[in-house]
Parts: sequence; structure tokens; C-alpha cells
Amino acid sequence: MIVDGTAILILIGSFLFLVALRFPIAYAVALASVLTLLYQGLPLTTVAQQMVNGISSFSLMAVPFFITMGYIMGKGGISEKLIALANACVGWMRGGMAMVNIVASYFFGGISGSAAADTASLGSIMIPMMVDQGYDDDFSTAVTITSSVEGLLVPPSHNMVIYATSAGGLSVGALFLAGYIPAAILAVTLMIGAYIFSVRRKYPKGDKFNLLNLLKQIAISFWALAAVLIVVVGVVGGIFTPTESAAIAVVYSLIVSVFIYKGLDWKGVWKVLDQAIDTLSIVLILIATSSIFGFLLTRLNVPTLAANAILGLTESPILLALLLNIILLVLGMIMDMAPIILIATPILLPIATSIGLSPIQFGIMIILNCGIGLLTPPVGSVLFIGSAVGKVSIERVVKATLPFYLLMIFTLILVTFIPAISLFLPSLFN
Amino acid sequence: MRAFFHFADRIKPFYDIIDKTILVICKVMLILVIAITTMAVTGRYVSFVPDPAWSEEIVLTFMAYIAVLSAALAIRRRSHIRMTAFDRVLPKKLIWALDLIADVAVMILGFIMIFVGWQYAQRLGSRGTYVSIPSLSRFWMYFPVPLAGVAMVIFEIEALYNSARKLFFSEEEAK
Repeated sequence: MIVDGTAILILIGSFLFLVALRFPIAYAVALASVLTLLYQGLPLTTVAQQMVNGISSFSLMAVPFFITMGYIMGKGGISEKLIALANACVGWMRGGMAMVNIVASYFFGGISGSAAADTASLGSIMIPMMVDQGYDDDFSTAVTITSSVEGLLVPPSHNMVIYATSAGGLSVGALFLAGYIPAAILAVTLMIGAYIFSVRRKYPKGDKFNLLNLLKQIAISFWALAAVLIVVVGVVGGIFTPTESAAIAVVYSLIVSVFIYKGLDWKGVWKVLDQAIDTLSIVLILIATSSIFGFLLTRLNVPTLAANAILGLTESPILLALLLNIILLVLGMIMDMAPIILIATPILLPIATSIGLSPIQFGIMIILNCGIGLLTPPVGSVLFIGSAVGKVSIERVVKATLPFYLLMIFTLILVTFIPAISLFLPSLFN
Repeated sequence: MRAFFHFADRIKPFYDIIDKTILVICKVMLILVIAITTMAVTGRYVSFVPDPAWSEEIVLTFMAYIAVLSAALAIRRRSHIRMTAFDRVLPKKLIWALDLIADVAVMILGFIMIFVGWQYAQRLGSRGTYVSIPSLSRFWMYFPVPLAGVAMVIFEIEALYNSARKLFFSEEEAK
């Protein structure tokens, strides 16, 4: 294997340098690639070729569809219905509203797939409700932002589609199934933490459990939750590809939001598309430019070199797995989710598989790590949104979130060292 | 100099029109992409709904156009993901200078994309056509790259203009 150290240094060094200079990451990736192509004497037309190849993937088409579906459902008035459903399930417990917040995030995550959307949408309803009932505002915000990470793991998640493609074409259906149990464990862990706080701080219980009310709320929320069923059953059952199921789900969510829940009119739908385009403007170009970067990483054998270097540090798979988590957590603290998945997957996945981690399990680890990163300063977009929605200073939110960070790390460790948590459902459905 | 900026500000409505037009084009393309894909899937199960062979290639081409055009809008709105972790501790003038450098570099990248993208699109366009639509040149599949370059340059000119403007106007006046 011929190693061109200078080219690797130019590629990775210039990328990091440009990112440090506050260049937009999508263009820092492209510029670093252009510099490397120039150094290696390769034609610059590679930029055009790789950009179009990167974006011309039918599986990646699911990304804009899921994003659009999330916005339509989010604005279509389903938040209140999902909160009512969660309230009927767990509102009777001590600290009922905190539990409702956590469970509603599980349901909502299945629809939006975005922690930021979850925090903005559920948080704006849940935090004032919790504060009115006597919960501390910083605690309410901490519960809202930490539970929003469930949404990244509960399918359908556009980040899972990006990972599946970055990992070289994994089964999106298997990844979707893999997310359910880790998200449920995260929810239960957070609920235990919230319960302990609620008992200590004497937060109130909600209304008594009422089976009839639960059935009624299930019936009301059925139309919204059916969108998730269309995607997951369609993909896992082999009826649709992820992209096809996502397109069908967009049309379905439109029908539910406009005609059944009546939370949106056609003018509202047109406006919602503005928001969808806003998000797509960031994600799609990143996918396009990252493919040039990925092409050069592979050409320069960087994944193999990185794997050898890290595997040379220790032979212990446990330490290596922990090291992978630390790398991802640090990246998550300073970068956003999509660039990490697109840039780190080709480098770290070979290391993960060499220590026996399944690519599916590693995908769940990446998403959970990035999810935790979204809540941590200095670049925690969900932390900032939570702080703004809850009207609580970032310092106070971080302080209140500290115990929840530990619970999330605990879940991460479980996901890392117990493969069955991620792989049981995919293996069950083969 | 302030008088020059007051005069040059007249171009802002023109940029607003470009912005709105691009946004509408992206939204229409997104609707078409969703409609075509849904139609193709439905067509597999429902006999009277067409399932055209061209659906996948056309949808992917539209996607490429949405990606590059919307990315240009993100330049204008400053919404591209960037490292802003240390913004609170960095002096404002340094952030201004760094933004300026980034804008110049992205503009250069825009020119590179125009040049190499056009070369590549033409070369490929002369060689082949879409598999499902033999009458349509593959030029249109790669045309989004030079188009992205053009859109990037247009919006970077505005970004550089706004940066220069900040030198002569206070923050309040600049708004």
C-alpha cells in the first residue's frame, strides 16, 4: 500500500484548518478536496463527477422526504395529540408530566426524526405546562432536551438513511428496527432519573390511570402514528424501498394534517415547504461535497491507516470501543450531526468492524453519540433551542442536564457492549 | 463611500427576487419529486396509475438541482453549518475578517465549479443520454454543478458587499 502522507495532511489538515476558520463545513470539505486534487495532479472535474454521484442516490432521496414529512406532521397539529396519548399512558405516575414529556418524545421522534424539531415543538407546549404544575423550569427544559434524542433513534430517521449510505449501502430497514430498543432503553433510563428527581422534589402526580381515556387517545393519535407504520412495515416487509415508503408517508402525512386533523391548510403546506427547503439546503449540499471528500479518503487509504493506527494503541476491544465513543462524543460536541456521519463513518466504521461491532450497531452508537453532542456546549443546537424555548439560561440548563448526561452515557455504554440491544429486532425480522 | 453604498443598496430588491424565485423553483421541484415517486410506487400496485421508466432518473436530477439551488439560498441566509463554538469569545472584528476570508474562498470555489462543472457537463453531454429518455442529453444531469457555481458566486458577491458595508455603517444602520 502506497501512502501519500502529504496528500493526507493536505486533505485532513486543510479541512480542519478551514473549519477552524469558520468556513461553512460543506464548502470546507469541497475546498480541502480541491487542494488535494491539485496536489495530486488529478483533474478537477472529479469535483463535478463526485458531487453528482454523491447526490444521485435513490436511497438518499428518503432524506428530503422524511424531513418534509416531519415538518408537515409537526405543523399539522399532532404534538398536542401525542402529548395527550403520552399523558394517558404515564401521566398518573409521580412526576407525571416529566414522564409524559419523555414518552411523547418517543412517539414524536417516530414522526419528525429530529431532536431539534422535537424540542421546539413539544418543548413549547410541555415546558410551560410543567412549570405551571410546579416543576422547576431548568428541570423541565433538561427533560425536554434529553428526551428529544430518542427521536433520532426511533425510525424513520433521516440520519439513519445518511449513515446507511455512508456505510456503503447498509439495510435501512435493519437500521430502523435497530433503533427501537435503544430508544426505549434511553426513555426508561431517563424516566427513572426523572422519577427520582420528582420524588425528591415532590413534583405532582397526574390524573389516575384510565383505560378508556388511553384507548380514546390511541384512536385519536392513530392517524399520526400510522405514518410510522407505513414506513417501518413497508420497508421491513419489503413492500417499498425506504425512499418509496418515505414518499408515500409524505403524501399520507399531508392527507392527515390537512383533511383529518385539519391543523394545516394548503397555504400552510406551502409555507411548511419553506422550512423543509431551509433544512434541505444545509443537508443535501453537505452530502454532495462530502462524497468528494469520501472519494479522496478512500483513494488515500485513510480508513485503513486510521484503523491500523488506532488498533495499534491497544488490543483490547473494550478500550477501542470506548475510544470510538470518546472520539464521537468529542466530535459531537464541536460539530453537527450530518457532517459527523458523512465524514467520520468511512474512517471509523472499519475500526468498529475490526473489533467485532456490527455496522448496524455502530450506526446506533454514532447516532446516540451525536445526539448527546447536540445537548452539549459549545455546539449544542438542541441545547440552545431548549434554552430559548424554556427561557432558561444555557448555564442553568447544562447544570440541570448533568445527571441526565450520565444516564445517556449509561445507555450508550449498554448499546456499545450489549449488541443484542441493537441487533435483536433486525435479526428477528431477518 | 456611504453615498456609494446607499446607491448600491438599490440592488437588494433584485437579490430578493432571485431568492424568492429560487425558493419557489426548489419547492415546486420538491413537490414534483414527491409526486413522481409516489406515482411510480402506486403504479406498481394500481394498474391505471402510470409507473414511468423515467421516474428514477428524473427524480434524481431534480434532487441535484434542489441541492445546489437551495445551498445557494443558505449562503444568503448564513444558515450553512459552521464552527460557531467560539464566537462568543472571539472579537467581533476577527469574526468579520474570518467571514470575509470564507466568503472569498467560497466564491473561488464557485468559479472552480463553474469552470470544471461546465467542462464535465459538456464532455458528458456530448457522449450520452439518459437511459430512460434517449432524447435527453446527460448534460442536464451534470449541469447542476456549474449552476451551483453561478448561484454561489451571485450570493457571495452580496455577502462580500454586506461585509464591506459593515465597515462604513454601524450595526444598527447596517440592518
